[in-house]
Amino acid sequence: MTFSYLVRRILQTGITLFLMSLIVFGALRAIPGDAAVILLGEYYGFEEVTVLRERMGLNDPVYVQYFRWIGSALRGDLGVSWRSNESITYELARRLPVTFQLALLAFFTSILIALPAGLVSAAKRNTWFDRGARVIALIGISLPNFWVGLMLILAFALSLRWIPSGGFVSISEGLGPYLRALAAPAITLGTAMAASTMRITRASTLEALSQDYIRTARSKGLREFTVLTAHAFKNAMIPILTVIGVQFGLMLAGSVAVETVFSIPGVSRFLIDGVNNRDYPVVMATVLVISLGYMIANLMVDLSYAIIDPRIRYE
Amino acid sequence: MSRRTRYEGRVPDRDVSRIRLWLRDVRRFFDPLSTVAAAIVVLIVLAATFPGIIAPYGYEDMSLRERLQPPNWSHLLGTDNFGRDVFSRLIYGAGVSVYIGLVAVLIASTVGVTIGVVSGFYGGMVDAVLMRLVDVMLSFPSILFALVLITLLGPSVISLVITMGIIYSPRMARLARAGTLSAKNEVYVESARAIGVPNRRVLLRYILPNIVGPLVVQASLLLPIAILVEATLSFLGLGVQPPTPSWGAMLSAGRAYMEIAPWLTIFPGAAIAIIVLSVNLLGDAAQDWANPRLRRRL
Repeated sequence: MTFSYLVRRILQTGITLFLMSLIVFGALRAIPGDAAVILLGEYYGFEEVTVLRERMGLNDPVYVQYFRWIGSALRGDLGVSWRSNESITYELARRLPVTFQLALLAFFTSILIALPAGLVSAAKRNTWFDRGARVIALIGISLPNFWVGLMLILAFALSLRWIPSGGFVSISEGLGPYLRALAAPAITLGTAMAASTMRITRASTLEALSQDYIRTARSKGLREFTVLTAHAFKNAMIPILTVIGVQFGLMLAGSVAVETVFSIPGVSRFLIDGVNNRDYPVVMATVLVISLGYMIANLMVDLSYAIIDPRIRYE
Repeated sequence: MSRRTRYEGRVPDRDVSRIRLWLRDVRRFFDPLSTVAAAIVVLIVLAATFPGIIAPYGYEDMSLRERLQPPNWSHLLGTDNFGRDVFSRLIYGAGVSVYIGLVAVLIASTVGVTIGVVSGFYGGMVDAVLMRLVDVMLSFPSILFALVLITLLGPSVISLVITMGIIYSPRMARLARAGTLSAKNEVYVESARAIGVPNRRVLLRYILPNIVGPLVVQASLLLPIAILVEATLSFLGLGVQPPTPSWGAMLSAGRAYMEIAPWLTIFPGAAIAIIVLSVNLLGDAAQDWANPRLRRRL
């Protein structure tokens, strides 16, 4: 991988993020009515509006407002919430690790389910195992994940009382309570992701299994397990990795409903609260930060191609 | 008279074999699984269209004496905290879910295909600007755009439909543009242009009919996503507002009573799962049908 490729790819990411910030800023500035009036609520005098408009910088041209916003965002200051008047940067710094841990646990859950299931499905193509796994995967894609979450709460929290019905426990309070609190949300989020990953694993392994080198590997007497894992799976990794990368990014956004169901104080919950309160600075900042996370996940997937498949060389 | 009459004397078997081919196609589409899925979809669409005939109660009929009843013979799926019949509300809710999904896909298709076809046909600056916009929208999770738009428009059915129409149009645009680009260079389009057919007519009568197949398949794959997103947003309180019975909103309202009345969360979620699964199965079948070379995705 050449250094120039890396630089170019990071620049591309930067440009896309810049365009995204323009769209988000533009959309939210197109609101009918006056942000200062919305903020003040029903009771306000003309003077208060004027003062607040001046203080919020709403009297400046729109492009000045944009550059001021993006300028402070780049310096790490994402503004204050209209609702609570608290620093958004502080709030996000508190919530990001929570969402990230949830996403990571969900990610491992899904890999643990999807890769073996997809591989076995491909190896035992058109058997009962294969058909069953495919039907389960399709059901997994079709289930609304917030409902799966609610059903897990119903079964394991309310009936069996094995897990708490929501909330977040820090790992500093012990691994047991931590995993008990995060198991159900991670499974909810992870199984949804496992379905797509399993489908692509199966398809891409099947594709690899039909190649000539597999026949060679078999004819030189390798065990079927070795053929499957060391030869077929390794070559099937690229599409699988692409889907996994996209899924990991989507999970940051997909956790909106899951964080609500399990009352987890993460970034997505913050975003939904912002949308509900029409708290524009919060929405702009969270959307930007989640987008950044998504872009970084994609970038890392792109770069890992070269490590996994030495045939890929970036120019 | 039509062309068919002219050929009739010469190739008598032609129509018969065409019907046979068509029948084979239909049979290929309706394997047992997709038949069941199609039957479920038809049932739900019927329920959605004529809820008054199937539902035993109105969706707002309250009976405080019958609050939070578990499923029984007079209330098949139980009642909610206002004593409203869950089964009837599910039937009325089917209309909300199905039609919001359909209208959203229709908007996404119309907007997306227009952008894609114009972009592909005219090229140049128009193409460059439109496709950069599409690229940016495709490079981020669409739920983010949905949330921004809903912040902007406020939660309601109208803003839900508009939002989903906008966020899913880029996918249609991409596909329509690709189709247009390849169709543009076909001989039949060139000859139409050569004999002076106006651009608009070339687009509508020559190009569009030839690229419509993949677009329909893509739209059918979008429908279950739209239904799921509607349910999710309504569940979060950002979509359909009460008392309109949307499955997502019913789930959200039932959450508070989960311990004493689990049927309020079980049935609406199961309804969403069943319709999305059925439409997904049909979408898969449509995809195979349109492109038999692709391996069955299920």
